[in-house]
Amino acid sequence: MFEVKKTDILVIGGGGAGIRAAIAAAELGKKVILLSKGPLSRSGITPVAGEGVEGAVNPGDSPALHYQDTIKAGRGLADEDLAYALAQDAVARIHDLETYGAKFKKNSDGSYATSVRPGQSHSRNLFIIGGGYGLAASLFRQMSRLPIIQLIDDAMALKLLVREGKVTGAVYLKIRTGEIHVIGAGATVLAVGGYEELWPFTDTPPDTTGEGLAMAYKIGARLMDLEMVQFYPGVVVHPPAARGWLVQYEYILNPDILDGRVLNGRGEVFVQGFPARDEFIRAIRDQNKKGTASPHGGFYVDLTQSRYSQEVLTERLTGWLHQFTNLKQVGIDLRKHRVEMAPAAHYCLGGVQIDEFGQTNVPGLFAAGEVSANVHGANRLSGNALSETQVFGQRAAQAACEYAAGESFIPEDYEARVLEEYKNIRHWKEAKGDVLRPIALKSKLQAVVDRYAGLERDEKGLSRALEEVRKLRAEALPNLSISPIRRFCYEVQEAYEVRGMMDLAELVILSALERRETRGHHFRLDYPETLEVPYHTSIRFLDGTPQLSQIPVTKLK
Amino acid sequence: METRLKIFRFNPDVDTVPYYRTYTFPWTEGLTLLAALRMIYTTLDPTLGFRNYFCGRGLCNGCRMNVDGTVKKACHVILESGREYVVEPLRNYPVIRDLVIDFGIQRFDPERGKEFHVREGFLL
Repeated sequence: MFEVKKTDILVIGGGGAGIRAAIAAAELGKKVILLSKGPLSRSGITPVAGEGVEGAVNPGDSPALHYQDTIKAGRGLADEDLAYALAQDAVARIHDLETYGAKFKKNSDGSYATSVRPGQSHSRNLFIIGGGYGLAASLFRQMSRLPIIQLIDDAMALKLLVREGKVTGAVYLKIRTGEIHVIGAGATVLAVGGYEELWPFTDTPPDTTGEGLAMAYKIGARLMDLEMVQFYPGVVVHPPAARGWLVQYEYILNPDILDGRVLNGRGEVFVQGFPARDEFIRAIRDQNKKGTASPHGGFYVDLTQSRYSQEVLTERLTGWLHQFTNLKQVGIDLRKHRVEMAPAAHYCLGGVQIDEFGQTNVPGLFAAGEVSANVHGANRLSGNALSETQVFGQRAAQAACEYAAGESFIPEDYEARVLEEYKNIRHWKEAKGDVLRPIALKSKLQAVVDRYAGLERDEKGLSRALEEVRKLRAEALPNLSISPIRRFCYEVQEAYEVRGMMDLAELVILSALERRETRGHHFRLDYPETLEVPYHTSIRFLDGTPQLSQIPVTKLK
Repeated sequence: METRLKIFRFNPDVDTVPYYRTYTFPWTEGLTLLAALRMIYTTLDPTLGFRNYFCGRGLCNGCRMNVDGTVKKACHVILESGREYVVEPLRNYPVIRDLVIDFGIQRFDPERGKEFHVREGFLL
């Protein structure tokens, strides 16, 4: 009736961190199963990432400086041991990527071509050809050479299995057939990415719904700093054909690359120099307050006044900005048209708490990549996300392999756990009076989160949001209704997604209430000051309710 | 003005042969084929099988499909007013359901020194 697969290492998530973890475990001789919600290298967040990968490769630069910049950009909230690990390992992982077939932009002497991003003391942003897609494709290629890895795609993890306090695998839905199956594992690496879909305007694909994070929460994993979502300033908001596409303002504003400008709704320059992401967001917020923002609450990108000729611009746009040709495909020419952009949810800084080896507080559960918390703090440097996937994917897998070596596989009675899920699905498929589809519930939830937990927050709004989310969960969630199709029923997937989003929305709001200060991407109208001593907001599921606490930021010894 | 999409439908669990269903909706400026498929799924037909979770901006090649017999990325096709488009899944890939195909699992054959794909579904 259902299938039980047994493996040493289970990796959940088929993005950059997940595939890297699978490769690392396989190279250590462990049997790996990789679950991916969609087709590999075509789903998840990694393929839509920009080309930036951080690594101190240039003369005069060093991991110590990379570390310092990361800490500074994190506005005091990055755990120092994690930022240190990131900076230490980044270059070695970049070299790994090259052996897997990834190509980086090089200078004529063979050195890496790099660019400076806001917040960097040295030019450290390497350029991976093909962007995140190029990175994912090279990992997939390497994985194809390791038959010890079994990939199951179109597979959604529904819950983690726990025995005697240890994670022993997961129950998953095979979306293609509608079947529920089980994987028993010595150790599990969670690499499911962020939860940007809680907000209605994002530059991430629609599958970044965060139910995997909610799943870890439900078995007692400690989540941290969930209120810290990084908004990216420059995402196309109009025209509609390109809505949600990120265009790197870091290249637009760089006087040595494109020499463009950003203008408010009145055509005035409102940003000076080369602002970091949280600083830029603040400037956009001010424009909105003054009523001088562009019609959709953002600004215009303008290259028409660039000091470079059309030929130079064309060459650089083609070489540096992967969106240039795609924008042209839908009728937008960055050289000639002003394009309207606005901030969008871009990267979840918070997530599962990990140590420098990706170990969570639950034995047997490791985490890597965007799903983890505390690597970047309250603001992230451009390019550190892709580096993070590689550094922590490898570290978490290594630690998971060491852990799994001491565990023996004990078969369990999985039947009840599987039946539970079939019952969920059957309930959703049963006819109800009013049809409430998961996609409609997602929109309702997004409207609440956006209104009260977006760029600006305060206690009154957040309390209201908490009430509304709890009401939606109690009244709407039980009435979810989906089509009675078994084979590739996207609505089943969406039902599980929205269920996880409901949990997460509550936790994000609770964390935002708990952070009574303004720091990085968390802006409290009622607490505009930044506290001298930073703390993590921490949340755990104990006795059926979320327990909040504040825990100190880890310092290097 | 209206736009029509004539979409390939096939659920191997219940259908013996594929069929087409036509959806008619008001045209709006800048509407892409991918956005139109999302709109049909959201407002007209929850049973339409397609993959929603693609990048939507030309990077991943995951929304390539046959549009009037030519392979195109759905996110790059700007629909015109008053026209009908025939939308079919990419050929040579097994169909899982409707427009959903199996991209397959990439493996490496050391003897032949190249990659191959293991795919499942209905190859039409």
